[in-house]
Amino acid sequence: MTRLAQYISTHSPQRDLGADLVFTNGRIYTVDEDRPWAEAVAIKDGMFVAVGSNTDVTPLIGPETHVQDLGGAFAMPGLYDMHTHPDLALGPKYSDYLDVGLETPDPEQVKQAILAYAAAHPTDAANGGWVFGKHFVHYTFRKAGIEPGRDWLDSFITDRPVAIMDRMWGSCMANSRALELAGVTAETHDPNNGYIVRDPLTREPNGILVDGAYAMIMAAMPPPPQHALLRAYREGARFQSARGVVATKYLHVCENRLDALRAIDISGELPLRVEAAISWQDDIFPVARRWELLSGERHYYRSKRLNANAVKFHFDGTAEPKTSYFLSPWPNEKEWRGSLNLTPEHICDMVAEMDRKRIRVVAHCTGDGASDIFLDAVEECRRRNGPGMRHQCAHSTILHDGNLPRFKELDVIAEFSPVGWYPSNFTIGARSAYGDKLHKAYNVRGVLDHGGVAVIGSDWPVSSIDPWIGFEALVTRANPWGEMEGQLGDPITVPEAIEMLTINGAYSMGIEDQAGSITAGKAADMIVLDQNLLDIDPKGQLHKTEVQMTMLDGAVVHDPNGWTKDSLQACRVTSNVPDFYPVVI
Amino acid sequence: MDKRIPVTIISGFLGAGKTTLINQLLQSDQACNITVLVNDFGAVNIDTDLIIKREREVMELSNGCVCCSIQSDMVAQLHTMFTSDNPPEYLLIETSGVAQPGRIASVFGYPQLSRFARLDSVVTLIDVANIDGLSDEAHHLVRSQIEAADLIIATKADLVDPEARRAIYDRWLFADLPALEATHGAVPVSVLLDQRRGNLEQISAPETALPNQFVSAHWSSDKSVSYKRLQASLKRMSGALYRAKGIVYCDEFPTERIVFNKVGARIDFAKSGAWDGVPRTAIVGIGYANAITAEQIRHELEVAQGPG
Repeated sequence: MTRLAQYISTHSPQRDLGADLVFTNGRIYTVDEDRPWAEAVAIKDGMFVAVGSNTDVTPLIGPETHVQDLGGAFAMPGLYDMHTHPDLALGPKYSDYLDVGLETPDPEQVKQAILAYAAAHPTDAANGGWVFGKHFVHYTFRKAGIEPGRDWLDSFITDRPVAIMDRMWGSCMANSRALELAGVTAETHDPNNGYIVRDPLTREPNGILVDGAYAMIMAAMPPPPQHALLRAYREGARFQSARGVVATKYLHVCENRLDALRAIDISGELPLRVEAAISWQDDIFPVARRWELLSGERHYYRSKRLNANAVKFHFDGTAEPKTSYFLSPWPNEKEWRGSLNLTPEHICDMVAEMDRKRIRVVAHCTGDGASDIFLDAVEECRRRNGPGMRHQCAHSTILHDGNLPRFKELDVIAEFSPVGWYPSNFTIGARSAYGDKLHKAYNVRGVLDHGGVAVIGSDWPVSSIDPWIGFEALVTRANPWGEMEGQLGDPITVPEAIEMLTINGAYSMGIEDQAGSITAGKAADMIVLDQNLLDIDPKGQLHKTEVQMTMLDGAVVHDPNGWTKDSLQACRVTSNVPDFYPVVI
Repeated sequence: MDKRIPVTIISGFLGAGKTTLINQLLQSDQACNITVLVNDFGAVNIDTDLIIKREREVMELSNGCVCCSIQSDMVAQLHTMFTSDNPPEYLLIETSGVAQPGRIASVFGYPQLSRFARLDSVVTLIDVANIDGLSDEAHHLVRSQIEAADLIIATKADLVDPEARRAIYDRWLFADLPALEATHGAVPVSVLLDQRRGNLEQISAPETALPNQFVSAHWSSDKSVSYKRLQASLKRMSGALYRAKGIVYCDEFPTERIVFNKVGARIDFAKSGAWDGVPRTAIVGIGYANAITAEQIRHELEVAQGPG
């Protein structure tokens, strides 16, 4: 009966106990054009019920209202990180793989560690019998006169797949069973960025896979165990929430990852809204139930916090192996324009079909040729289906000037990831192959000037999951730590960046009428900061912003100062915040 | 005939003598024009009379050699170099003293580069007078440089007596890894570089004009050899036989010409089309006179004719 009593019937007399929460004396930047600034807000049943001055909210303070005086602190809507991967960043680390535990183990020590691990981890459905881990050292093998590879591993373990990384992660040693499961044979082609070491005459793999080639082994392995995925998502989300993020997109998921996210969600521990994008292809890990998920099984995971109504895939490649797909040849190349992983016809038909199912298509497009064809596919989709889902061009590293107006015209989200926004050894080094194109990279300014909607995606572990680093670099396009001088690309203003990280994110999730700004009637998402972003000189300063509180749907989910302690609105998230800040040298 | 550009990677810890060696190679008369990729342009100390043109990243010499500094994206730089209108005839890469040459060697296996270039060898210089006294951290790096090596050049060998040198090799090197001793930076170029671009037609005659610490052997036979046994024979001789190359009539592939090139611990086999006429094995090798005789080399090759 107590539960029934919570259902308020229209026949019951109205009980008005006032707002649940009231914040007063703030410098609240609302991202609402009609009322850009407010002094106070009142929250009830997860929504803002009043946004205005202290006197506006006073009548809403009831006997059970928790009132927090912000003391002039700056507040704004919570942040949206629209592309990141806690599972890829943390999953392997938490997977309890083999660790020989010695800096320079000799072959006998590697062998004993493998046998001990195999004995302690019997084959089960979760591990598929795999013995995977680190590390061996080529030097000690040569010193012992042993050739590392399948023959050596096969000499003591044949019934289970074994793959051991070398100390420098430059190669992987696999036994015959692992090679068989990965489908690596004499006929297998080398990937572009690595190779299979073979007998030169018979072409038989000898069990050493160099650089990009060991991805074939990874692809054959079972996913990280559920406990590792749970911990990865839980800790990733906790850090994001502590840094002010209220909504995120986890791009690339499979049924196992969705199971982990759902488990966190139904236990009430998901501190942000998550849109999870199912991998369209097995390019990172296999998705056994892809077609079931896409035809309807994804709804099993759906809640107010979680949805899987999106797909993600790599349409083109990246800078280092020169596989970004361009409209013109790569610098210093006569013909090479990069490569596409799907034909234009494939993407065209799939975008239109996904759109009809209300599934968002998120396409990794680093080269201007890839985004050009993706935009063409959306154009054809609009012609066939009319207005529909807002599809997302991920990374948008290099865009052709002629395509800038099409983001608005076609209602496509331009998503930018901070990895190359500012000068650093990475951008100037690993990405130098882009040549002059590098200076046109991440043209946020261009998209905004043409009326398009731009969002950011931290793309952890490619760049930091701390959203404030990309935030600062958006408005400076300079290195946040001063490690390298100069500027890359055109900055945008602080108010524009705030919109990108708030209301634009909500727009890219299709919830801009329910969230993304501090507006009466919208979800009560708000963060309180230690500095006024519009008052500071952002260079070297903005990324250090401290989050004093994060509130999502009217519930305080991060409360380092204990503002809600002992109240009815007490923050239920009390776990320690993991340290996923980038290492500052 | 393998027309790919041969590549030699020169590694070694700081002060091991890489720059001295590079300078020596650049200034000697070569059978081909060498392009050298160096880390530190300033350290290349070329006789100014030799320099024709010097730009920010490239220095051209009158003997046809070219010297360039390594760019941050080496794979892209190499690809550009190999596909240019004027690709190098021979490429030498001097890695930084603290680099892991194995990672650089790996890129020559990538399909995008392996079409154009073939890694001839990774040569690691060790300073025998100072190797034991380096820090633990330096030893870690030195080990990774030795780990990737096909051939060792022991520099400042004249500062250490032969017995102590032997002990250093036992402690640091591998049984299959030959060490060439260089005194005052002098290393015979013919042993270090494969300047004949894998031209196997020239192996009918033994090497001539080798310094007297080396021995050269030539062996040929109409009888087929076992691929497996030949690999084992070459492996057994590896520490004493610096270089060997040959055309082989193999039991396992009787209709195809099998060619191989051995530099120190690196042995690359390849198929080279059908036999034109009667199959015949012909192999030539250069060894260290102290460690092996021509007779022993020939004997090891005879053994390869036994049953596989």
